[in-house]
Amino acid sequence: MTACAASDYILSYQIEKQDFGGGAIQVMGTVVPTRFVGLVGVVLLLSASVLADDSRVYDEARVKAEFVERFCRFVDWPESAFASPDAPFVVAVLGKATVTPHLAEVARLRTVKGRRLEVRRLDRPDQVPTGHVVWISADAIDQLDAVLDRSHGNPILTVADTPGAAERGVLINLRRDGPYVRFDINLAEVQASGLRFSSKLLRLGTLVGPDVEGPR
Amino acid sequence: MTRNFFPHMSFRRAMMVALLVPMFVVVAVALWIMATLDADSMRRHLVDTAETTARVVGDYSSSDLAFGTRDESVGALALLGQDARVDAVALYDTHLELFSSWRRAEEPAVPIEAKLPGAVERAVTRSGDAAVEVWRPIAREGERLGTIYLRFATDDLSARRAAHLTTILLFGLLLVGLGFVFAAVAQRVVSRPILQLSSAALRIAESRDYSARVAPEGSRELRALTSSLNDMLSAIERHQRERDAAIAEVGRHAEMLEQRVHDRTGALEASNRELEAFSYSVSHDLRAPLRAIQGFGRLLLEEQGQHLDDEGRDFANRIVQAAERMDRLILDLLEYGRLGKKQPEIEDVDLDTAFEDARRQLADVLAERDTAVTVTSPLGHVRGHHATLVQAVSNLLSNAAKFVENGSKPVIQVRSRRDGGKVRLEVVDNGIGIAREHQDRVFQLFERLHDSSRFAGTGVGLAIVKRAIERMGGSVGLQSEPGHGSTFWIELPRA
Repeated sequence: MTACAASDYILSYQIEKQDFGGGAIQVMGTVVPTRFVGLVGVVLLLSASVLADDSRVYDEARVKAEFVERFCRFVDWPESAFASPDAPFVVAVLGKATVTPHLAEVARLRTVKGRRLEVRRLDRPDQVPTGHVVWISADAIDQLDAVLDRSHGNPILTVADTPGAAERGVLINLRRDGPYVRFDINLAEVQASGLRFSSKLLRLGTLVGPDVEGPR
Repeated sequence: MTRNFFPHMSFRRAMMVALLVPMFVVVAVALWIMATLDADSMRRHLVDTAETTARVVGDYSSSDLAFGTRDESVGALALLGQDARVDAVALYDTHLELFSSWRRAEEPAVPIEAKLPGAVERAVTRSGDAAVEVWRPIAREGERLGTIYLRFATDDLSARRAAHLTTILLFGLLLVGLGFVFAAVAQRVVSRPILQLSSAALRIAESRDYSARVAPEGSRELRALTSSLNDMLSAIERHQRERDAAIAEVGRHAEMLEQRVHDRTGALEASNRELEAFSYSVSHDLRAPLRAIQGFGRLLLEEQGQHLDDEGRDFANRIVQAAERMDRLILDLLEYGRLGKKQPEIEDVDLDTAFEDARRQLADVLAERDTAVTVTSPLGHVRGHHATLVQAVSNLLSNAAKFVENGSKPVIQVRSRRDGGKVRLEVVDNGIGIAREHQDRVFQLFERLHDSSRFAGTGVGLAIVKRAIERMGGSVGLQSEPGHGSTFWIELPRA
């Protein structure tokens, strides 16, 4: 059996170390392994990647925005989640998130569930019920309990990218795993929300929460 | 004409071929059609399976493509390897680049990276001899995520085809074997009586033993045929027996006849011999007193003639003449008898010489009658005996000179002509001729057509000619008309 791996991939958030001898590190993604490079390096490389005008070099925010869009493809909302057949599919962002422009770009190009995609910025947690997807930025994580109070038991897909967020009740929490972006799923909250997660999505996420026996 | 399609085959083999060939053809065609249909349906099934597998695996892998989980994807694809038909499977991203793959062989003929022909808008299936290949786009809610490529090896298709061919072959062999067995049984049941009948008929025809009979056996028709043959044999046998009896009867008759002829011939020959001996001795013994009569007659005329008157001399003269005639007759008879006793020695004879000798012998007689003899020389050579031939020619000349009207002069022509392997000598006279009804008689002994007072002679001359010529292997004959002379001829083998 031969497993083939491509050198780069649009959605695989990967950094390849091609020439360690010269000390140069070519960045294919925007997240750099911290084992070799310090926080300063991360900042430097982040800015370097922004400067790099290469379509195959993606930043983490864009990858996360893509992930959000892809989650929608593998999750089904009850019909009751939409006010009318013409109602847009709303992705709400709480806090100052780098994903917002990328989400806006996705919204401009694509539809979800046959509906127009609308990206909204939330100022307060009580606005949470207006969104089908609610992104909780790292800087708004202190409002998490308030958000979850309103989203719990409702068909609202809460997404965060703060370690431990899933355990606290966020449905999907993105995290880095080496060169990849991985995600945790709080299965109990998913079941409570009334959303239907595709098995294909569940298969890929790390299940956390009270019903799961320890981390995978 | 009916053409025989199995000219050199025995009945048994022809029957077997007639049974086996159509059977074999039918079974082979049926099996072939079955094999073709089976291969076709199997290929369709393989295509269906490949397409379904591609759809299921593509659907399953859609989240891997969506979230870039390559390791999970490779593991999932590798599970397909448990299906022995799966040769290779690959996922490509929306940029048409390889995302993950699995393949059975280490070194594929075509690199898996090159297996994506381009953007695949809808499912494409390519069914070739070596493999069934499926390309299928993967999408989620209308959003393109990538493409799956799946390759099914058709090894088992060809294996199946080989198995079918083997089956056809085995069935064919089985069929031929069964055919042999069946033919053997059929021969025992059907053809053996026919063959027996045939060989019996052949045996009878060869040995000509028509007393043999064939035991009826087999089907009704065969029994009828056999009994017909037996009837025929009976008829032949009966006819043969009758014919044999008839031949034996005829043979017996012939034998009897032959015996009778032999007996009669012997008796005839004996009496002939006795007769000849008798006539010879009589003739011989008669000459002595005849000579006495002749001699003393002459003496009487010469010594005592002056004592006799005219009447006495006339009587004496008559006695002498009668005695001379009698002596002549006796000499002729002796000559005739001698010809019958002795086989003359055959040699080349010059006819001219023989003719001259004969004319010289008869010179006095011919001169006395003022006979004109012309000869057309050369007369040629024949196979014969000189003295005998001279005697015969002499007698013919004498005969020709004799029978002329009173007052006429005999004119004789002698000529010869070749007739095939023979020479014919003709003596033509100007005599009185012979009527047709008497012509058969002239060559017989003592047959005289005329009174001896009119024409002198013994009635033996022409009989001598006939016997002499026949003793030399020739033949005699004549053509004549009364008043127009006669032509006597003798014919002998040419020398």
